[in-house]
Amino acid sequence: MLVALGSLAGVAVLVLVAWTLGFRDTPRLDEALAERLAADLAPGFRAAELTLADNGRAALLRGSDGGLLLLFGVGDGWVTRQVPAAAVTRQADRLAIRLPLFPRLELPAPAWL
Amino acid sequence: MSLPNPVTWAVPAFVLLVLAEMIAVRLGARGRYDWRDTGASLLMGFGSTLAGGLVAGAIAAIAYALWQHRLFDIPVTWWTVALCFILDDLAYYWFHRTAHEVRWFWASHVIHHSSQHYNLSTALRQTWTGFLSMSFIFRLPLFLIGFDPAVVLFVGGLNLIYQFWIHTEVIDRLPWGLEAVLNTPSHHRVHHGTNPRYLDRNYAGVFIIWDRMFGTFEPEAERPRYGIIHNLATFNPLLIATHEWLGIGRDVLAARSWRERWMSLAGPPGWREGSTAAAIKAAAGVTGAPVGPAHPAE
Repeated sequence: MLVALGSLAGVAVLVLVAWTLGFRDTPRLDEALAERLAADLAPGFRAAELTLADNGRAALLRGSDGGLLLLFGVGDGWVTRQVPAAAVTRQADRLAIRLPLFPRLELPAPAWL
Repeated sequence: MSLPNPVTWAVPAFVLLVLAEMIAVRLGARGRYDWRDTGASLLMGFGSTLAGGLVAGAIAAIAYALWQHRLFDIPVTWWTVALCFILDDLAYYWFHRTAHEVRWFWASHVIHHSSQHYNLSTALRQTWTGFLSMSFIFRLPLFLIGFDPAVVLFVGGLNLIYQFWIHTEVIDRLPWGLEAVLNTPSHHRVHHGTNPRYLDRNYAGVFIIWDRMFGTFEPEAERPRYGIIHNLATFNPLLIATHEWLGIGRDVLAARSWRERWMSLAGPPGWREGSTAAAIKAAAGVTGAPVGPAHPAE
């Protein structure tokens, strides 16, 4: 028990050191960055339209082939998911996106969707 | 006989080296850290230690039960320990290769690859479910051959310690021809890369010669993009530990035939959605041709 608590304390110290050293970037998206990241992380994807989350940490993009791609900030990095149309619901001026093992997201509903 | 667990003794060095790497990166060395990612990796390592402690007795019991039926009485000398180290590393190669090519084993191993960072804390991001996936079965032949289980577990610990320091971008390439023989930071960066040409390559633990022998070697030629094909959208340790098992459960339940059920369990990762390593390589125009012994050593 004591060893386990000591290990957890060690984890906390290392995390605190990482934070103190400045390893805590939380980048925000703008349209240009979202398009560049999508092309980079999803080879072959060409963004035609996009909508950004209010906090700049997510974007839903529509490709030139009509497919939807979600870009989502995780720490200082980004993850992408192809989004089936059934995973997107529109409520007035908001879009809700639900994907397996993914946080529920809300974005401003764009005119193009 | 009884031998110490070398990993326990190495933990203070692990901590100091993570600290040293963080400072080196802050001062401009190549590498990336994120405090949330580091926290997740370290908690995975902590949980893995706890899980390992829970099943250690069962694994030791299996090991000694098999050893009772050993083919040879192998004495414990310096050269048998060295031989055991080499054979254990060969067993590790096949475990590791299977862990990437069969989803059941991947469900445990994917945890180690689930960070988009590649630093010394990533080395500690370890599975909680290795016993469930039965990854220990790859070491069983060593007990049957006749190596003392204490020796096998000892050299397994040394293997694990060796693999810690290669999880870094700070070190470029090793001198003196070591890249030809040893698994190095450069070779292992390739292993953690999701670039199409890097998928399912460089499975070695200590000796890269196994990859050269069995046609899975790939040299580092372009900067790796780390992580997995569908990177996780969370730092939650519980989800990190179980996400692939949940995916298997979902796919087995959705399967419409016994073949689909079987492939959801034992097919290559990504089989159901068509994103296997082979499919990604083919789409990217990577031949995937084996790079074996004929490949020139660095």
